[in-house]
Amino acid sequence: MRVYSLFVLIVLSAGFMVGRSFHPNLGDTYELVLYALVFLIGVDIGMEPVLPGSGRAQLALPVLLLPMSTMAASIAAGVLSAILFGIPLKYAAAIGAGCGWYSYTGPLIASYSALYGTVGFLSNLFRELLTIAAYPVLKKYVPPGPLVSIGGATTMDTTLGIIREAGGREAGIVAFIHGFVLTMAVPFLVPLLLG
Amino acid sequence: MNVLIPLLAGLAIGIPLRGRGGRKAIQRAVNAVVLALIFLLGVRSGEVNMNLGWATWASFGIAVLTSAASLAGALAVWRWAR
Repeated sequence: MRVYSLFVLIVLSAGFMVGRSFHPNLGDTYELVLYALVFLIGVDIGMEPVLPGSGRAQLALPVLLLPMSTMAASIAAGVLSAILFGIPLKYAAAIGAGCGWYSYTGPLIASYSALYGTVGFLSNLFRELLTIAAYPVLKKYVPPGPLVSIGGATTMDTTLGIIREAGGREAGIVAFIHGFVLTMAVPFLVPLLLG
Repeated sequence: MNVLIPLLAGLAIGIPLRGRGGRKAIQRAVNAVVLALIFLLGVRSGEVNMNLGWATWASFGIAVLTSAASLAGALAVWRWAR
């Protein structure tokens, strides 16, 4: 497990214990911090250079279609999990649309429901960890290009290193473009699905 | 939907600042706010009565399902478009 992921789980657990033990009245603090985060994410996305390092050759049709198929399949899997785990459809679809971006999806869904926010957070964190563990193993059986889809939006940052290392330079470029497009889409799609 | 307003406001400020530096400071601020929010998410979760075993099991199931579905979709798109 990556050190940062472990740290995030410790912070979440510490908050859980504080909430369970003291029931602090935080008022609108949660919503205010959430809006601050969303605002900063907006600034960060705005400052992002347009597809840095990508040349015309890398913008081939399969590479451009890949993030769209990842998003559609993640939402479809979310809908399936609504049936399997008895989660309300809008929360399940939003959890799927998070595409591994746990720090955005979990807190945003928690502003509607603490339970499904926690599931949204953990499932997207597990997706990131699963990518780190599974990418080098699955690479022996699946082409490295389409395999980047398992990482969702994380493929432009936290899982990029492992993909580049295990899949090679071309997979690294595919991963960056894939993660970049999804990182642009997730902040809009998750709130839209929540309604 | 309310959350789209600060997102669009952030974009409106970020786009003119593109290429002018200072992005590292924004990312550091994002990291700090993320940790604060994760702590508050934990507090909020702790206040409600929830089955943590079910939440963890369902989360793992969703992670496997979304990853597997994404891979299946990607393989289909890759074969079709190439």
